[in-house]
Amino acid sequence: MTLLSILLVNVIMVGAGTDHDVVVLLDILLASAGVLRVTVDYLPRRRFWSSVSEATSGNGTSPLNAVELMEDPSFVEGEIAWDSIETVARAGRIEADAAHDDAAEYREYVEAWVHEVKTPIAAARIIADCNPGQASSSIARELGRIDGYVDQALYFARSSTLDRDYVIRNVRLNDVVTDAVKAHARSLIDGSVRVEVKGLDVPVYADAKWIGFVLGQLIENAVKYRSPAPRLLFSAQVRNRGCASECVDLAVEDNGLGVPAEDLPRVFDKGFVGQNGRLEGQKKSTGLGLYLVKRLCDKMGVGVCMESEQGSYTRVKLTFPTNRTQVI
Amino acid sequence: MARIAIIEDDESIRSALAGMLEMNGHEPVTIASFDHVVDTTLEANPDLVLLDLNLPSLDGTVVCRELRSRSSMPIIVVTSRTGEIDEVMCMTLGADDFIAKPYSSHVLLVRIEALLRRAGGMSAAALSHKGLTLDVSRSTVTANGRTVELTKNELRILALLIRSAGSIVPRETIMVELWDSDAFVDDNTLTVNVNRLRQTLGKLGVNDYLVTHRGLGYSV
Repeated sequence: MTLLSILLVNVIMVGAGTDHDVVVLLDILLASAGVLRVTVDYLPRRRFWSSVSEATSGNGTSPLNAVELMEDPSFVEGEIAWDSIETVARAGRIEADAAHDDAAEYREYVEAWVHEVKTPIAAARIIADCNPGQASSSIARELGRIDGYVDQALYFARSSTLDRDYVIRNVRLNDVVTDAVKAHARSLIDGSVRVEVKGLDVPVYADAKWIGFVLGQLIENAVKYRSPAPRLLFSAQVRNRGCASECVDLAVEDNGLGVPAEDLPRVFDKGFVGQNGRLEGQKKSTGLGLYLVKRLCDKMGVGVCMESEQGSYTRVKLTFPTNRTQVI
Repeated sequence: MARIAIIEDDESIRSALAGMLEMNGHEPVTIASFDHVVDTTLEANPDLVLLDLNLPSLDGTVVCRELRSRSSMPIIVVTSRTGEIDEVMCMTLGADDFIAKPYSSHVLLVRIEALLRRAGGMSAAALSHKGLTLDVSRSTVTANGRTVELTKNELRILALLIRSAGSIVPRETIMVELWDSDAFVDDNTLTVNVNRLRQTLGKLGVNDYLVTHRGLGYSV
C-alpha cells in the first residue's frame, strides 16, 4: 500500500517535472511515515494476539476463563475476536456448570439410594438371623455381598466429587484394621484365611471409615485370589522417625496368586481386569476395587502402591504421613 | 429381661427387630407414630432405646438430644449413614453407641447387653434351654443347682447356640461371632473352644448337651 502510493507520487511528480532531490526527499518522508504506521499498528496487535495464544494454551487456567487473562484490544478486529471468545467461553461455562450440577444431583441421589437400600438389607439380615440354619447362613453371606457392592457405589460417588466429606483424625491402625477384618470376617472365614497382625499399635491420620473401606477392598481381593493355605498379614512400620518426612507404612500382604508383572502397572486403573480377574471359576472382577482404593487414598493424602510376585505374594502398602501439614 | 423401645419408621425392620428381641428374652416396645415421639418413648419407660436417625418429617438427632436431656437411659443409634462425621455427631448428641445398618443381630444383642450392664446392673436376658440357664451379664451358667463361670469365648458360643436352639449353627457363623469379640480364631481354635465348653458343662453334670453335626456345625 505504502509502496504503491510512493510509486504513484513519483510518477506524478516526475511527470510534472519536479526536481529530482525533492522527489527523493518526499519518498524518504513517505517511506518513514509508512514504517512508523506499521510499527504503531503492529505492536498492540502483537501484544493482544500473544496474550490470546497464552491464555488459551491451557497452562494453568481453563481456556473458558481466557478472556480474563487477555489484553484489552485497542483495534477493531481485536474487539471482535475478544467478543467471540467471550461468547464461546460463556456458553462453555454454562454447560460446564450444568454438568457439574447434574453430577452433584446424581451423587446426592446415589447417596440417598444407598441409605434407602441399606434398610431392607438390614431387615433381611435380621430375619435371616432370627431363622438360623444353613439356608439363612447362605442368605446372610449373599446379603453381605450385596452390602459390599452397595458400599462400592457409595464410595464411588463420594470419590468423584471435589467436596471434602471426610474427616482426617488421629486413629490407631490397630482399631481400623480390626474393624475391617471383623466387617469382612465372613469372607475370610469362608476362605479359611489365617489373619495375622504385627506392630499395629501406631496412630495415623486418616478418615477411619474411608480407610476401613480401602482395607475391605484389599481383604476381599486377598480372599478372592488366595492360595491353598491362605494367610493375610497386616504390619506397620514407622519410616524416617523424627524427621519432617516421618510416615507410617501399613503393609497388607497375602501369600496368594500374586499379580503378573505385566499387569502390575495397571492394577489401579479404572476397569482394569487383569489375568487374575478372568480366571476360570472365579467371580468376575469389576476392575473397580483397586481403582477406588487409589482414588480414596489420593484424596486423603495417603500413598498407595503394590508389589507382587506371581504365584508367591501380593503386598499393598499404604503410606500415611504423620505430619499432616505436608499433605493439606 | 429389659424393655427396649424401637424408634424406627421402616415396618419390616421394626417387626423383625421386635421379633428378634423377643426371641432373646427382651420386651420390645415399638414406636411407629412420631408426632410426640419423645413423650411416647418416655411414657413407655424403657430400659434402653434403639433410635433410627432417618425418621420421616423429623430429625432423629433432635429426638436423640431431647431424649438425652430428659432421661439418662442408654440410647443406641441405628443408622444407614455411615460417615465418620455421622458417628462423631451422634456421640456429641449423647448417644451411648452407634451401629450401622446392616448389622448382625448378634452384634446388636451384644451391644445391648453391654450397655444394659453398664447402665446399672440391669441384668441382661437370661437364656434357658433344656434345664440349663445362661446368665449373659455375669457370664455364668447354672444347672442342677450348680453354677460355673464361662470364658468369653465359651459364653459367646453357648449364647449363640441357645439362641438358635433346635437348629444347627454352622461353624462359620460361630467363628464370625467370635471374631467380633476377640482374636481372629481359626477352625482348630473353635474346636478347642467347643471341647473346653463341653468340659465346663461336664462339671455341672451336664453331658452331651452340645451336639456335633459333622461338616455342618453344632446345635443344642
